[in-house]
Amino acid sequence: MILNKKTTFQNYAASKSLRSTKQRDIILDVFLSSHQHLSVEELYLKIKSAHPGIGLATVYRTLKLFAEAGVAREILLHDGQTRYEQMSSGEHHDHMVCTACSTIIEFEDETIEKLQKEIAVRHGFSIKSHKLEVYGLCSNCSK
Amino acid sequence: MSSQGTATPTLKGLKNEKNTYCGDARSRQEHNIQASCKKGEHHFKLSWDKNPGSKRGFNVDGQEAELIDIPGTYGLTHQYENEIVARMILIDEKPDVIIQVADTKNLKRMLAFTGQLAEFRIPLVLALNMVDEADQMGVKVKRHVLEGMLGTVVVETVATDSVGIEALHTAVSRAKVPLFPVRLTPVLTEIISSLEKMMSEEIKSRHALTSLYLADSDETSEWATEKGCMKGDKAVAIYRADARLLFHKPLDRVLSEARENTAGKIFQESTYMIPIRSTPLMEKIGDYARGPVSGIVILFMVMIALYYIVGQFAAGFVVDFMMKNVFGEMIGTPLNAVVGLIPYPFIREMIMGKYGLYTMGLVPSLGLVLPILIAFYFTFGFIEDSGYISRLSILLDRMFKKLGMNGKALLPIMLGFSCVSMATIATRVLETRKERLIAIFLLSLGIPCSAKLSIILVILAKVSFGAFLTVFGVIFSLMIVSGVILSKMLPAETSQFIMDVPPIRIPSLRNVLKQTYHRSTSFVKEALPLFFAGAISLFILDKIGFLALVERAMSPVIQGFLGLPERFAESLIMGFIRGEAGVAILQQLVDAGTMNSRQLVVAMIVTILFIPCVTNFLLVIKEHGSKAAFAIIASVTACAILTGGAMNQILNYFNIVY
Repeated sequence: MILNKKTTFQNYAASKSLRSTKQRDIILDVFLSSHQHLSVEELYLKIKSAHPGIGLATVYRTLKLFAEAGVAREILLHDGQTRYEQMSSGEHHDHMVCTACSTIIEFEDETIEKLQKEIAVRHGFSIKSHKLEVYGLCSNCSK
Repeated sequence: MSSQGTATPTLKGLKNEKNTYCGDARSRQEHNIQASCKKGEHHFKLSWDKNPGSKRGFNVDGQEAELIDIPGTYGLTHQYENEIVARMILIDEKPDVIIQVADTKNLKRMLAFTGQLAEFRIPLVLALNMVDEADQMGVKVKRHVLEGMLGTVVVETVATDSVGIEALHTAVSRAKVPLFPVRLTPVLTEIISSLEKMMSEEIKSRHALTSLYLADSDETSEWATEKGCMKGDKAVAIYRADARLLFHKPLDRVLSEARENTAGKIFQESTYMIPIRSTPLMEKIGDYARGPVSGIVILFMVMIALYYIVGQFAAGFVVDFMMKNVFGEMIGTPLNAVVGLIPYPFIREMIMGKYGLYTMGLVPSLGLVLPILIAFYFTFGFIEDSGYISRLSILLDRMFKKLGMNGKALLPIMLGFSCVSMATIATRVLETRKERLIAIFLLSLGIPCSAKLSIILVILAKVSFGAFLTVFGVIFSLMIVSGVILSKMLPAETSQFIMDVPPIRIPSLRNVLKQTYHRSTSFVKEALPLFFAGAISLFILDKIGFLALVERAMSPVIQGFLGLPERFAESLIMGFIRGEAGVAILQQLVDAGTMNSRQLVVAMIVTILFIPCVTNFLLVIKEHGSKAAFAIIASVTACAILTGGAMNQILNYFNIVY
């Protein structure tokens, strides 16, 4: 799976005539191995300790490239930070976001997906994409 | 708004202390954090001042302290004039203590601003003003809890009733730098810390300058770089660029949301709400005042009340009494006899002649303008104190938008009825240059200042209601048409209209009387010398033949086109040099009975439309440059003459008599 995503990105970079750089490879490795929804800052801090030479701007630009390449998806959250999650084609899920600790929980529910399609048909609307974010407190923060 | 007298606080042990008074916009309109200063007692007097940034010196028991008035504001990062001035004062003046005057009803928002002020690392006193209104709304503050959380002194005040003033003045010496922990992401915190380290340790407000540096506005950012002595440092620009990468929102927003989060927590811990009773009658009236139909009905009722109180009672009955009985028989007759004993005709004429100090100085100012002004300030004070003005702004916002402005323009327009020069300065509350130019044009065109308004109302009291409708109908229509045309001619959009709506309440008679007294005495102190100066100027100009020259030169226009007596030219020219002088001449023309009702209508229209005084002209040059000022003068003069001439022709053609 990770290898597939690496290949996807490399192909994208080649199509855009972008040089393959070690820094981008490192960022990609760390991103793909984390399985989390990471902000620019969080990924930068993860990389910084082992690779202090990689700057914040480089991490930012590289994440943008990942999103363009279809390897990552941007999620714009309420706290102003953009988070990135790994994306696989055809896969879809929604998010619950804890406003206290910023934990993000992915979920999928067929009933919700079906309901959205029915509503779209009722309004003569053709869906291209959708996202659902539910904000509240996670079980830990609710206590 | 009246300016207050000098203050004599006692701030023991605060030698050479500088205190900065930093009020929110609404609190300041309540103005008067004041108490009377009595000999031997320790009282503190803070006042809202007409000139923000002005300093007051205090000298008590040999201790010196300086109080600086900051414009009311809710923030410090934007390029609005009040925010620019506020942050300049906080950085350049290096105050020792900040007194934040907060509106207790909006404490959460006020606390967010406290967070911004805390970044300056200057000891702060938080004055929770208008606690009485907060109380009415069920907002209760646990003052000790709030003090503990902020780590500095909090005082509850009701400024208009002088409640809490003594506690406020003793609090100043106990002020500390407020605690306001703000949660930011680790990298942003690191960036801010790095930027702070780049500034000299002597700069106390490094943290504040860093926040301002990270502001969205490039101008604010550049200013902060200069003040932090970081100009030209490339690393600084990289830090800012990096910080922006972290968020998809502007950094301003990120920082202010972080402060709001902390403010929210402090607010939650330190306040509680008591459910208030079902909507009282006054709140219902307040809602009706904003309604599109009910609001207009209420507005008409208010205008009719103004017409009868100011226009009929004051301008008619009271002025008649003052002019005939007081200044005529009681003072005039014996004074005439006394002056008659002076052996020098020149001196006699200078006192009691056509342009005498008494006839053209004292009598018009105290006998004509002052009674009307008192009535106007009294009724306006009632309207103001009730909270109706903000609802009226909302009601009229749609109309103002058609004229290229928004509801905020109501304040300068209403101030124009007192003094057009003051109103010109007040146009600074409008956000865009387009709005300010349109407001200034309309003020110059159709809003008569108190002096002009007084004589207009006196004349109107002598003529029919039909004349009143004609005059104000013409003026109002012209203003609407001009506003619409200007709005289309000038580029740029109108700004957003956001206004704080205070609770509607029964006006306090004590407050209104106090305001009326202060405003009226200010007028007498400022305007009386000007009336005398106007009289002397007229006397001299008459003696040297200048006035006769003016009359002859303008005769084709005045007599031929406008159909008015020759002397009306003097009234216009002198009115430009000094409004009061023009009014005095017009009053003499009216009293002499040389104009018929048609001429009176034309005279009123031209007087209102004609350019305001030279002070206003100079202010417009200062605010918007000479090109704009001359353009306004030329168009307003042309409008006045052409409209007057047209009305003269129309009224004569249709043989209309009032």
